[in-house]
Amino acid sequence: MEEVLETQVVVIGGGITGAGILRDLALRGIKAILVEQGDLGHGTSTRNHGLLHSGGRYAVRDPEAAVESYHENLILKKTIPGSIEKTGGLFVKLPEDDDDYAQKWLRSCKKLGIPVEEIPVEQALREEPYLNKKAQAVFCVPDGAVDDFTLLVDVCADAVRRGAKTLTYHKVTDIVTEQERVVGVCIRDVLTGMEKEIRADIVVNAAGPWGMEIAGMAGVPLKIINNKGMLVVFSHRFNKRVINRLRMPGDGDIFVPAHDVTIFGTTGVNTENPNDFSLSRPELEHMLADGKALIPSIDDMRLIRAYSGSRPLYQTSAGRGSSGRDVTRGMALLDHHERDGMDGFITITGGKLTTFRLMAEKTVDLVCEKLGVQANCTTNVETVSGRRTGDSFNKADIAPAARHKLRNWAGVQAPKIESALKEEESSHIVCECEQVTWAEIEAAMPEKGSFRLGGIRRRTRLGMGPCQGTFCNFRAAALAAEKGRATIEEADGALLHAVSERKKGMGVVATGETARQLLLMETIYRVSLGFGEEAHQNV
Amino acid sequence: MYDVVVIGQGLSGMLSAIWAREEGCRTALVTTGAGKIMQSTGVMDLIPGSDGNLNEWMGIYHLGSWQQSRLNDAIRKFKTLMNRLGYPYKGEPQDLIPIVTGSGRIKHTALYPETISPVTEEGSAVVVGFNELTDFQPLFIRKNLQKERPLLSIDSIRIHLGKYSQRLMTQLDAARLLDQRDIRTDCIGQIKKQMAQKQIGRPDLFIFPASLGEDEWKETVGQFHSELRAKVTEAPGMPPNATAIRLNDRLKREAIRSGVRFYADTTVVGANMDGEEIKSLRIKTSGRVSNLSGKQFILATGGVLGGGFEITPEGIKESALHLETDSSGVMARLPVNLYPVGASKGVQMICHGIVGGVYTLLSTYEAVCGLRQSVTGGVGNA
Repeated sequence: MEEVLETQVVVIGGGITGAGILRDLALRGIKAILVEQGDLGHGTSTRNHGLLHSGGRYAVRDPEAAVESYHENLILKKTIPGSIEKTGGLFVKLPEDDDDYAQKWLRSCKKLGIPVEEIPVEQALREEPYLNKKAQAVFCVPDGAVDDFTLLVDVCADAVRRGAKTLTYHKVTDIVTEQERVVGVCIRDVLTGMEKEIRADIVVNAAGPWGMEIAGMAGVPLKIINNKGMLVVFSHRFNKRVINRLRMPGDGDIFVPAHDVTIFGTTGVNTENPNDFSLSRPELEHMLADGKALIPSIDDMRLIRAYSGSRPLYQTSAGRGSSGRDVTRGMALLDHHERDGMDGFITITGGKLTTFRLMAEKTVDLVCEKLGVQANCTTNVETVSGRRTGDSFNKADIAPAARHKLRNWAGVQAPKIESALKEEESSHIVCECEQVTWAEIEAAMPEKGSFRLGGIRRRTRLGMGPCQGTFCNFRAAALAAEKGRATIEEADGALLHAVSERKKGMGVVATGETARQLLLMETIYRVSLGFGEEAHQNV
Repeated sequence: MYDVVVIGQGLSGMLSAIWAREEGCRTALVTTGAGKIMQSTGVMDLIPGSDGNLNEWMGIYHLGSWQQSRLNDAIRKFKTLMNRLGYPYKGEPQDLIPIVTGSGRIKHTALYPETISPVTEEGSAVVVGFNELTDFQPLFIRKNLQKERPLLSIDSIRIHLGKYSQRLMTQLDAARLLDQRDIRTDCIGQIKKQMAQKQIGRPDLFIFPASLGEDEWKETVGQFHSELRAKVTEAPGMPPNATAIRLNDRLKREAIRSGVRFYADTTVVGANMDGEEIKSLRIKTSGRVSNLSGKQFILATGGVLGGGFEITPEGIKESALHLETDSSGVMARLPVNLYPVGASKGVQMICHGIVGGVYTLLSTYEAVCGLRQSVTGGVGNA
């Protein structure tokens, strides 16, 4: 007999919007289950710049999104400090950029209340030496950098701590309706194939680029433009602050510092398929050519990988042709009862990483209204546990770099990891680039379910450094098999999958040292370790 | 003025230099970095990443049948050298043998050092790992090997070297520890004890990481063999493998001993040409550029992986001499006194990143023969 679960609200989609909704529901005492087809944040939520917008970017074109961004920027810095670096940001006007736009931008920021401070160009060049020396004007804004991996994991963990449930690797196969009303969802455990049903009063579609598919299951028409953007990661961090170009938003004009690297992007190409994460060399070259205007030495810097993700942009009428950037960056909250006569079903889409909390607030307000629950949103003040753990790990016998990483990373997992480190083998470094110990990897593994290196990577940074997992993916997989945390089939499968995924992201930027690293990875697995043909079967 | 200037200190570069000295040439070796033997396994494959036989190999590398005897000469010459250097190699390219890797896979290889033994289809084996060594996990290896060798009875045990380090321990670190007799004796004691506890009978083969001693490999392998009363083999995998480091160290010592002049930490930044001939190399040492002249030049820069070719957005570039190449790295006009060897011959020769040890031996041998012929032909005096 198939398993039937009951709850008040089902949230579909384990991206940051879904996670935010789950936490908000939990804080308001509403029972909820989040259903996600893969791992948390395998989609857009971790396939972006990691930019905490000050609102500056949208000040001219989309004032509403700009104001929302600025307000949320202030709230998130206070409530989720563990995932945000208050880097500040610069808007840089180059000689070829339109003077009128700069004036309009300044007026708009002032009107919207976004704090802008002009700094002398000499000072900006001193602080950001890679910036184009021809810059004409530089303005400081309160941009920041978000670690979207920790953000998502921490928001979700906070919701779970408050009683919410998550079902990852569960795919929604159908939306159950009864007389113009959604009453639940059918789901399938993608690992075991087991079918389940969740009965709920309300179903929230927060599936981002996959949202159209979900709406279709409920028989509700929905048009979302999936606008795919490509981003690249440099091998090191060359800017202290976010660097934006002061012009009408376009391709390749934002450089965001992320821990020890810089992320640069992006592009915008509409795609039909939400699973389309393809990368294109011509697109990359076009983007780099644009980026050269802000950072002239861009061609001399090493790129370690590229990735892409789709912005789910809502379009009120399906007819208007659009390039993607003309559509609002603002959020769209759709009450399908009002819109389509389908009760118990809500779609939240569009919006931005920066405004995820507000999106969740508005969604849960509507949920409360429908459920007749009187509860106010508190996510604007309730904080999520940070990541810094002060002087913990003092007694652990580990390398100083690993200790430093753990102190800034372990967060609520600190006691668990610290106690695991007492065992000598758990303190072995598995990933040298990111100083990840086995203790950390074990803490990041799910209690049950299969062994996946992608999930570990998102939670520990394993394999994110310049070697892109050449050494550590092998070590982690072999150790998992050794310690009985994975079957040999799981370990080998996870390893080959991880290697082929890393290769995709490296392949498109594979020139110079990265080409060499990619070849070394190929040689080690294929020749030295003798993986042979099976290395291709898993792609 | 040197007779021969070799660029690169991989297998092809060091062998070229040693063999050129044997021919009586005044030889210089220009090197930068650490040399890429370090990243290899020290095992010489025919077709890297594939079990293809000699005929397939000759097809892939576009070799003529007359080169088969040269190959035999090259291998004989290499084996003679390695015998003399105290790190003998076994095997023949006509008869590939199955060896186990650090992931428990079987691969077939042509030439292998004496520390390696083939893995049979049947019988019994015990995989031994060290707790401190993350790169070699015995149970993982055992389970993968079992898939490849269903009839082989395999056990695995873990012992400790008794040395902890905050830095990640590599197979080379473990090899250096096993150079010490007391550590070896302790390891053998642990193996015997665990086998008795787990009631594991004496196997036909013990499989170890590529860590059975560095300088003292003979004593290490010998002691394990005699006290455990079974064959032992190393299973090379994640670099650095001691199998490769021994080869590297012995070739380097021999090059120095035989009088090859090393230009270490020196980068070749270009060539001064005279018509179709290279007159000298422009070399850069700690920021200073100077000229290094020679009669003949061997390019042993090791393809893309070794750094001899650079993949740029515009295509493949030859990165030492800055010579014009086609899209696969083959030089448009090869200077008459330049001999590319190994992976420097162009990326079309590369299988999964490398050309393989056997092709390296052949092309190095042919280049050294070429030097000899052109010297006797009088080019050197022109």
